[in-house]
Formats: sequence, C-alpha cells, structure tokens
Amino acid sequence: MTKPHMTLKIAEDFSKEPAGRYRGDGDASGEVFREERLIPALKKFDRVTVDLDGTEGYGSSFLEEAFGGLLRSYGMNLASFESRVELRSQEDPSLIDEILQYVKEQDARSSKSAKH
Amino acid sequence: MEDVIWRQHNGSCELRKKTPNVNRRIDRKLELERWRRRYQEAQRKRLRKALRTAKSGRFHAHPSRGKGPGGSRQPPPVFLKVPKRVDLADAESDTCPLIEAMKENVRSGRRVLLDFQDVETIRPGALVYLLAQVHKLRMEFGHERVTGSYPVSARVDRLLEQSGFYSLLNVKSRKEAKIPNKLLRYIRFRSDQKLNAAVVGEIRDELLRADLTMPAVVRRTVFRAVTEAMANVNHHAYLNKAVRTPQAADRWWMLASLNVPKNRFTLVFYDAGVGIPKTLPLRYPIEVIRRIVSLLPGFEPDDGQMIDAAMQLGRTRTAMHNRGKGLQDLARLIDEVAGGMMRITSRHGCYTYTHGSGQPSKSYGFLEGTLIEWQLPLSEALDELPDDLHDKASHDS
Repeated sequence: MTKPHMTLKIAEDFSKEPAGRYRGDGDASGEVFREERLIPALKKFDRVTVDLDGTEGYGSSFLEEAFGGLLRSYGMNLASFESRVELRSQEDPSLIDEILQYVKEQDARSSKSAKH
Repeated sequence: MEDVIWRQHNGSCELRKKTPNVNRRIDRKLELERWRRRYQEAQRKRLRKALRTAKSGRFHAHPSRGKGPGGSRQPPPVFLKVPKRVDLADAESDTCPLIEAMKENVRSGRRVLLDFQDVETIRPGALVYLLAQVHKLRMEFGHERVTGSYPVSARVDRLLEQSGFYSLLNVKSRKEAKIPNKLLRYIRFRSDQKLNAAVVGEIRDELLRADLTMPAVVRRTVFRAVTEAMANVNHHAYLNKAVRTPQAADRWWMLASLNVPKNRFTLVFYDAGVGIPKTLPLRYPIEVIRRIVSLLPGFEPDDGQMIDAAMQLGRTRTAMHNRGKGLQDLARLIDEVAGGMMRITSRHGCYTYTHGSGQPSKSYGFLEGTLIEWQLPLSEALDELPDDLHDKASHDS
C-alpha cells in the first residue's frame, strides 16, 4: 500500500545545479533525477510535490527529460501526471507552465504514436 | 688547368669552368644562394625589430636558434601579423583568415609566431575563437608550435593576461598587466569536455567580485543559457568529427567580461565542433528546413539561414522531436533582459538576435565550430552599480 504524499525539494534532495538531459551529461541531469528520485518517489507515494525553488536555475533539456520523460519511461499520461505530480515554485512560477507544456507535448506525441 | 678557376663566395669555394653553359648554371645557383641568405637575414632582422618594438620580447625563446630532436637546426617560424582590430563582426578585420592561416601552417608542420605588436583592440568573441584555436593546436601538435610576441598596447596586454591567454601559452605575464581593473573585468577563460554547471557560479563570482550583484532572474537565465550550450556540445557539436587527441573531443571554451564605460556585459561560449549548418540537416529533412526559412524547392539554404532554421525549429511547439529546444534557451537571456543582443556565428553563417527577432547573415570569413556571444547592458544585467562605477559609466558612455 502506497503512502499518501511526499515533497521532493530539488535543491536539497538532488542538486543545486540541475543541468543536462541524459545520464551522460552528468550526475545532475534530468534522466538521473527522474530515474533516481522522481520514479522511486512515485512508486512509494500516491502524490509527489516537486519544489523547484533554491537552485541556480533550470535548462529546458533537464525539465523536458525529467518530467516529459516520465510519460515516455514510466507509462504515465497527462491525466495521471496532473493527478500525481504537483509542481511548486515561488521564485519562478513560469517554470510550472513550461513543464506542463513539455508534458502536454509528450502526451500528444505518445497518443499519436499509439494510434499508428 | 687554365680553363678552371676557383671563386670565393661567402666563405665557400665554387669550381668554375670557362664554358658558357656551365657558367650560367653556376651563376644561377650562386644567385639563388644569395637570395636565400638575404631572405634569412631579413627574417632575422624582422624578428629583432619586432622584439625591440614590443619592449619585452616574444613569448618563447626563438625556435630557430634551438636545435630539433635530431640535433639539426629548425627552420624559423612563420610570422603572422595579428590585425589592429581583432573582431569577428568587422569586415575590415582579417581575424578568421589569420586563424585559418595559423591552423594551416601548424598542420603542415611549421611553427607560427603571432605578431601582436600592432593590436589595438580585441573583441571578446574574437579573443575566445583565437584562444580556443591556439589551445587546440597546442594540444594536438605540441606547445612549441604556436608562439607570439607581446603587444605594445597596455590594454591589450592586460586583456591577454587577465583572460588567461598568457597562462594558456605558459608564458610569463608582465607586472603591469596583472593590475586588476574595476572598470574592465575579464574572467580567466574556462574550458572543459563535459557539462560543468558549477562553472556558471564560479565565473559570476569572479566577474562580479564583492562589489556587484546580479538580479535573480538574470542569474537563472544565464545559468539556463550556458548549461544548455554545454549540453548542446555534448549531444550534437562534435558529431562524428575526427579529433587528433582525446583532450580536444567535446571541448568547449568560455569567457565573460564586464565593461563599465561601455555599459556592457559580454558572455562568449565556443565549441570547435562541426557547426550548426552541418548538424541540422542530420536531424531534420531539408524540405522542413527550406519551409522554415521560406525557400523554394531546389534552393539550398546558406549557413546563416541554417542557424535561423535551427532557432525557429526549437521554438516550434509542434516540433516532432522532444529535443532541440536548447537553442531557444540561448535566446531567452535576450528576451529577459531589455537591450540585449545575441550573435551566433558558425562556419560561413551568422545569426543576430535582439528581443523577439533574429536576422541571418553571412559571416566575415570561415569560423570552425559554433561561437555564441551574448551582450547585455550592464544597467539591466546587474543590480545598482556602486557610486564610483556608476559615475564612470555615465561619464564615459
């Protein structure tokens, strides 16, 4: 039975300088964050809040791979992402819209490839 | 014995027969020998003059006076005069041809002496390109292949010292060049073969020192732009490019400067990969690229249009790939900071981006790899300037 909720603060639980897409880009890449922090958290908890504040910043490849990649590698869709992942940022709220955009784009690509 | 005479010429004896054809051949040989000696003497004089004018000499001991590995004298280095104004965006400046000549000579086994004595200004973008190419050649062919003479201009001397050009060449900097300048600050260039996000904070601290601060939004956007540029190098830049040494593979170079009188913050990022115009067609069909830059079928996009297409494809939300948005992150810094400008130069193409609009063009010469230069007004890129710097900025600009 999974527990109800946890908060994952990227600056404290992962890296203050998250950057890059793939594991080959370094230990603070989007793929490493997704595989070693986000997916294990989603396996244990029903709902995960990701706190984006406190880092040096984020590049699009980190954000796309970490969150858009959840749909590719963890089998989520837009609806399950919205119900299970909560994004939080007081320093730069535009990051939340950006991540949701990547998730929606990936959802559209996944649906398109499923139809074919 | 009457038909044979001995002739003295510069300490050597030549057998000379009184036959017209043979005499002509000997005369021609002697003439050639005289020209060769005159040329060598002129080269020596030119070097001596360059050293006298440049006050404290060249970077290294003169290679022609040393002996090669087999004990034989090595030929003198090829002199390449660095133009007065070293600038990639200046039609008058021959910066790209100079760098191409340096590369060609070194690759042909010759040594090169870069003559800096007449240099008056060096723009940061051109400095990074020159510095990176020297660094790469020295890694690939040995450190003795490229050397140079010190500049006469104290400002250029300080710039070469502070940017780390002298330390890259393992040469001693002159005392005056080490004096820090509050109004014109350069970080030591950085270079690495991997995505190194920690560098962003390091260069910021080195540049701003204790007296300046940067707004959080600019800090975050600089981090985004630089780390995405590094990730691009990892993913695309050196695609299948043969490099002579492992140290040159996937390498990038970076430099930042702050010019208070000109109200300018500059950040330059360079990789010596294959260049955007070569990598883009590997990821997108040519028809898509043509459509993006509004070219009719059959027309080949030039290098500037290729960079333009790469920028536009990253912006398209309906792009078929989940990748390729990184280039858009480079432009975001300009969108966030009013009055900024970004210039991407790659191969024969150039792309200039100001808030919301980009313009492709042809570059002045060939640039190996991709060079990105961001320029931001200091008044927007930094929090309030301290009084002493503020007075200087408003007075001079």
